[in-house]
Amino acid sequence: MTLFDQIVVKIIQQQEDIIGPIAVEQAEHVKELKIDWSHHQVEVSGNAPAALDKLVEQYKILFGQIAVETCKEAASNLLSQLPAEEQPKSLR
Amino acid sequence: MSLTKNKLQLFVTLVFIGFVGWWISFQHVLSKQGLSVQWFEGVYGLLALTGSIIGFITARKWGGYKTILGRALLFFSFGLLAQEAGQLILNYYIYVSKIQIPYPSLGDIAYFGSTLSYLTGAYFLTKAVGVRFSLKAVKYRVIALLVPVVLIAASYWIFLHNHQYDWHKPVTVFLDTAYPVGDAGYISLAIVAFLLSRKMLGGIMKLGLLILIAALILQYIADFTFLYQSNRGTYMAGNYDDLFYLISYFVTTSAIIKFYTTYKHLKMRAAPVAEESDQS
Repeated sequence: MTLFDQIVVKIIQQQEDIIGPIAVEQAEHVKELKIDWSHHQVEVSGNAPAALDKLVEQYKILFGQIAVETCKEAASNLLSQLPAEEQPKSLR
Repeated sequence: MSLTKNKLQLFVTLVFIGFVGWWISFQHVLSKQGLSVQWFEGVYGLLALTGSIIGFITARKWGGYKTILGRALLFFSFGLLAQEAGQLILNYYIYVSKIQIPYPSLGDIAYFGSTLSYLTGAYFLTKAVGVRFSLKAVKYRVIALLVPVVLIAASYWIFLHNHQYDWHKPVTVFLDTAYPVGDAGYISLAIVAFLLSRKMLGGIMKLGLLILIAALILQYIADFTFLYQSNRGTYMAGNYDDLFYLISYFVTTSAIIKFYTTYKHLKMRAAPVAEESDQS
């Protein structure tokens, strides 16, 4: 899995801890994400930072800015490994 | 979703209005403690029972005990169920056994269980609304510390200052202290949850979470009034304290229904972000 794939997995896991299976269903609305959650596998296609922004937006629809903070927290360790220009805007 | 479209909320609202009408109808003869009051006391807790059943179903949909929101909803449902159990037990003592309510009694297992359930539910509520993000700021840490300290101190002053403990009855001593402290505990968590999340909490979950916080505040008003009147021997069945409990059950049930309808809405929803992006 790429770093982006891993970030997506971390974010979905964190949201799943809060709201359960709905977290996965919300992520499935982002068409750039190919999700096999039974194996916790995710593949990001196309513009990965933009796809991550869309994923964060999905959770923001539910909880507002708190969801964004939760996503930042989930991704923080992996995000630091990305160059600044590749980091999704919503997670900066 | 409007009230008329949400049949569950409409049903609960009509039941609530019916109970309020019933409560009003016997206020002018309350001192007689007649049959109407007795039936009302035995029946209005059904609203709490209804709320708890909807709550268990809703909690399961949100992941049950495996998730933070599921746990919060589960404990609120247990709280409602325990309230109904406590009411039925006390009514049994008063109207069936026709004895002075013993203290402590089986009813206290239910009522204290309710307090513990609301306390635990409130704790998971603070987690669900992301209180920890605000705790990074010193100002909010001070608030999170001050609110419980002030409320527990106030509860102590009102209920336990100069209180004569019967040290030969340790369970009684425990309950005398644990009721007001437990109540102060869950109301503190509710206030902290509100104050620390109000700037960041948003989205379609916001309303349900805010109604749950409001429900805790109303439950506290009812519990506080009951404790206050019991301490001073002024409690009367069917008086406004029962109205407070009725309102609290209604608001808690409404919050739970909000989570139920939000879940249904999310399940039916199309993919807005992806589609919006495609269109733009």
